[in-house]
Amino acid sequence: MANGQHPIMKALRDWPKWLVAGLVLSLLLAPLLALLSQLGGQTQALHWPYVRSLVRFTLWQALLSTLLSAAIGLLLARMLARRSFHGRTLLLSWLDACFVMPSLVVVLAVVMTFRPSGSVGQFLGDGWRLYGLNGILLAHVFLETPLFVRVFLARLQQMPAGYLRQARLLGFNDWQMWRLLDWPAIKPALPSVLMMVFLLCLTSFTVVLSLGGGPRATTLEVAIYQALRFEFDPIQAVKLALLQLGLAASLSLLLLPALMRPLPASRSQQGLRPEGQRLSAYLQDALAWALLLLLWLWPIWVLLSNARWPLLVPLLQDPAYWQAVRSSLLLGLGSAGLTLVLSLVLLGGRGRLALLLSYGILLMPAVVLATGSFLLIWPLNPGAQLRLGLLILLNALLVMPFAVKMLRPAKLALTQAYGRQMQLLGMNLWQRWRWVYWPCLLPNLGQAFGLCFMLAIADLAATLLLATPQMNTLALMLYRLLGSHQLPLAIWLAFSLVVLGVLVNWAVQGMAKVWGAKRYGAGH
Amino acid sequence: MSKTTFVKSSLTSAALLGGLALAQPELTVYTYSSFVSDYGPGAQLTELFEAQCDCKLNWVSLEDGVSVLNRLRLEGERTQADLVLGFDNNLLAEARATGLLRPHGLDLDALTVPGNWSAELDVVPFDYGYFAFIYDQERLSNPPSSMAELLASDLQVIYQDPRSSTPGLGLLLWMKSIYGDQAEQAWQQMAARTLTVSSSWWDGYALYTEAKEGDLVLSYSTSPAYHQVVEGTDQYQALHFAEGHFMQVELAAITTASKQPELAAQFLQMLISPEAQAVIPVTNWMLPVVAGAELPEAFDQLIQPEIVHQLDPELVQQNRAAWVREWLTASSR
Amino acid sequence: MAQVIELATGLLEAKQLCYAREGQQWHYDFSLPAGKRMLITGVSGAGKSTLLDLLVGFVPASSGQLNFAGQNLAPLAVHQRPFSLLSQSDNVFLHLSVAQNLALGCHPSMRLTARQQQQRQQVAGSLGLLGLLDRPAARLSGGQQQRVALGRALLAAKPVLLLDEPFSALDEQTALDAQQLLLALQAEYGFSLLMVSHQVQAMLPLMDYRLDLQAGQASFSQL
Repeated sequence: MANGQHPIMKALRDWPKWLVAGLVLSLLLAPLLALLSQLGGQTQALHWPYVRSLVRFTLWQALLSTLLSAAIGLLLARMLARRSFHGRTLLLSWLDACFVMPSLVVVLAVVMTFRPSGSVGQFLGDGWRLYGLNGILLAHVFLETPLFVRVFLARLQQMPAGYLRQARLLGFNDWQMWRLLDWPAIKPALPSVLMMVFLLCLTSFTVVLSLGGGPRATTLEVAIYQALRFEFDPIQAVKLALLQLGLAASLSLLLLPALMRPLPASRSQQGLRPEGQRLSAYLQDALAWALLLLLWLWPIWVLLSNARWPLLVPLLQDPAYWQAVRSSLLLGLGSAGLTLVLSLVLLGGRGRLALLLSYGILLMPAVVLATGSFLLIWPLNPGAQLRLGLLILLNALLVMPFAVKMLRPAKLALTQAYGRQMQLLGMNLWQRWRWVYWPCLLPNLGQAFGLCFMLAIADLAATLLLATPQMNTLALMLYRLLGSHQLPLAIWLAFSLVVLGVLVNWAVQGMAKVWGAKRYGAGH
Repeated sequence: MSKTTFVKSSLTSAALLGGLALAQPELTVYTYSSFVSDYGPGAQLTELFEAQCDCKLNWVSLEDGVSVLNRLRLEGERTQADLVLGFDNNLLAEARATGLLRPHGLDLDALTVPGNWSAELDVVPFDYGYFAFIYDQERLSNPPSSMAELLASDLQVIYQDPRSSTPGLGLLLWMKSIYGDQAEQAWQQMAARTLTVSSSWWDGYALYTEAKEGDLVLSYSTSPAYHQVVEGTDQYQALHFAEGHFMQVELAAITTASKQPELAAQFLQMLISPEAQAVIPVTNWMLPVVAGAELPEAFDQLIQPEIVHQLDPELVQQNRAAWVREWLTASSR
Repeated sequence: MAQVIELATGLLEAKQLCYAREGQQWHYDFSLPAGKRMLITGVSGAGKSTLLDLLVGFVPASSGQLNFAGQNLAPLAVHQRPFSLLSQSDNVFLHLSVAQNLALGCHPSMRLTARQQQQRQQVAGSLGLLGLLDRPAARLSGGQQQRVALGRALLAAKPVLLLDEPFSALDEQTALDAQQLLLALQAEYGFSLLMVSHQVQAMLPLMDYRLDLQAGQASFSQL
């Protein structure tokens, strides 16, 4: 062996990694086993006509959401590729922010804007119904289109500048640009991003729960929750969960590598495109702007303009609100912190273990995981603190793939550059982390922490299943206010959720920067 | 419902629940959300009871009435609840089948609520009412006068999920009582009329009265009294259906898990006392179970159903799951 | 200048050292006396970098022997072997200061004894880095970065310095300066030197030995 070390010795030296891997794996498998162990019990058989319509609606809404988001994403990406204007970067950041916006906030914005008495809904005629497919599609399009824009725009801007020069010389029109350059550029990226969004919509929980409006528009993910929470029929829930697992897992298996690929960075405008002055381009861009305004700017403006100061005062005086803030903060900080620790330990070596476990987590729908955990803990009748602890653990697990996705490439690049020197200098694990990985990964760690925090505080699936009626988080409170249609107050909860996320992001990334600058010079 | 009460209600109920544990004995009651909201009877009953018991009431609010029973069934002997409050006559057989109800030994002979409540003495009825669709006179000028008319109309209806909510279950049984074997077809018609199915009575009622969505909402024949008394408006009215209405009697019981059954029995006794029975109609907006309770005038103007439907609790127990499936299938098509 | 760093020098010997991969074999045979310079030449893919990897221990030898001062190196871990390595790039940690980079050569914990600090000052002085000690390596020029790497190699006090095209990323004048500095230091400290370079004609006059690699075979010659 290169270092004169036996592989078994090496594995023994890596024990923290294996310990954490074992922990993650058992956190993943124990709920699944708990689910499977229920199957022997007494229950009514699955009601197939209902299950059939569940599966049909689940697939149908996911398909429509994906295609709509893709089409609008394409329109927006091409507009952004051919136009440069003031605020373009700002607009791109805004779309990125929409992608990580808590679903409940999106639901609130959609409800306020598109309900029949809402500022847009009132123009949609008497037959307009928000609850059901319409509402689900609106929220999904809001959340998923930015992903398409990001991917498509990156592909369009990676196009060699020479192509664009030639295209201008040849005087390509809009259709020729699309057929000869844009489509070939986008095509390779299309299958994986389409399937990724399809999977996201397939397992969407919060949106369907809040906007579905009854059995007509229920997905498997929500039906699992209802079987458990409404009927307290664990076995029914297990059967549906296994069905969902089969559906989601078989799909995710097909695109695991794509799921863990980091998103392409958005780049600045390069090269002038030839078709910008054509009428068809102007028409499409006008449509793109109309959609941007209608779907991504106006609904948020509706939220902002409907915020009522007098409601804020009693809210801020309410101990229940501060209890919710506290639980959300604990949940977010705990999950993000824990997931970073777990990911960092697992990222030892080439990080293949972290990748593998992330795949496992991505295969498991959140509701399935939460259902299994619920079955595990309810015989213990745990108190609120233990439940919060479990929620932290569960959310840490659920957001781990995102942390790994952000950290692994950065760490691999460092190993690539410095691995040999570190070995030659005889730096041990601690010294490598102290002097190389930690200072260089600080910005990435800050970003990953921020994203994980945001995802964890927005969680509803696990929280709804595991929380006691006495427990409160900002997301739960927002969900309940949405349910009882106290929308003006819900706005403040939505703001609280977003502000908490932004503040923590800002603080953590600021800390990473200051710390890095202070201890390691001006950075690299 | 006035805006401020609505705004405060859900917050306060949570605050109420987060109460501190004291050295006093603590009585835990599982109930549905609107019972302990700001305008529900929770606060006044707490005051009434704590004045006489030297104990602390700990309300745990669950989604809706069916959830109360489901929760109890799930937790079994380990439940924290001394009392469950808010399941109903339709769930009586199922509640008994859990084996978790403890006889209370109170004298219920004075109750005037329909039904034979003195036979087993394990539950206490504390109010009753009739399910009815409520409409807003300002929004709907030509309301249907029967279920058949409703189903044939082009109205948008809000009702509750029978898996979590007792009004939802009530509608399920009401439809069954009217349509029997044809209920599935009726539900298919209803599916086309459905704006949304809410998980609790409160959510659905708020969608109708606060967000002003839909044309009709499922509630109780007594609901208009609330708007009359509290808001001074007769804007909201109950629909009197030719096919008749379904009756609900709301129940409370002591659990076998309770370590302080005497205290729990004292609570039940308080629940049917004249003082409590005077509070419940004007907070929970249902009818009192004892004679002679003084009611606001608004109660005289309520619809009086001529035909009252009820189903045998045993029959409900045997068929509830199948009927829920029937509803699910018909309304998901 | 007083010598503050002492090297335990010795003879570096490769006896029928062989590396095999994907059906190809590379054989190396040479013996380099202490304090001498050897140029490694050959076309791309002839196995120049492979030899350095073998010596340092990044890849295991399939057969043969590798000795330094009579000791078999095979059981030793990378950092226990008597080599420092300077490559084309990534030799210094860009986010650390010059002082920190140098300190890593003394001890990876960066906790230096008074004597080690003295050594660091000395080496920094002889490399013209004294004024730059607090600057992050990222803000140095390419030539300065290679000098920091060289300084760190000196402080690591390894008797053999391996160089893999160390100056090819630098402009001509800087490369020439760095090369002169390197040879002067070699003369001063007396470490052995193995260098991979394409500039055969320019380098040969400055070397003591040559190892020419062709078709997997090495021919070793004294110049």
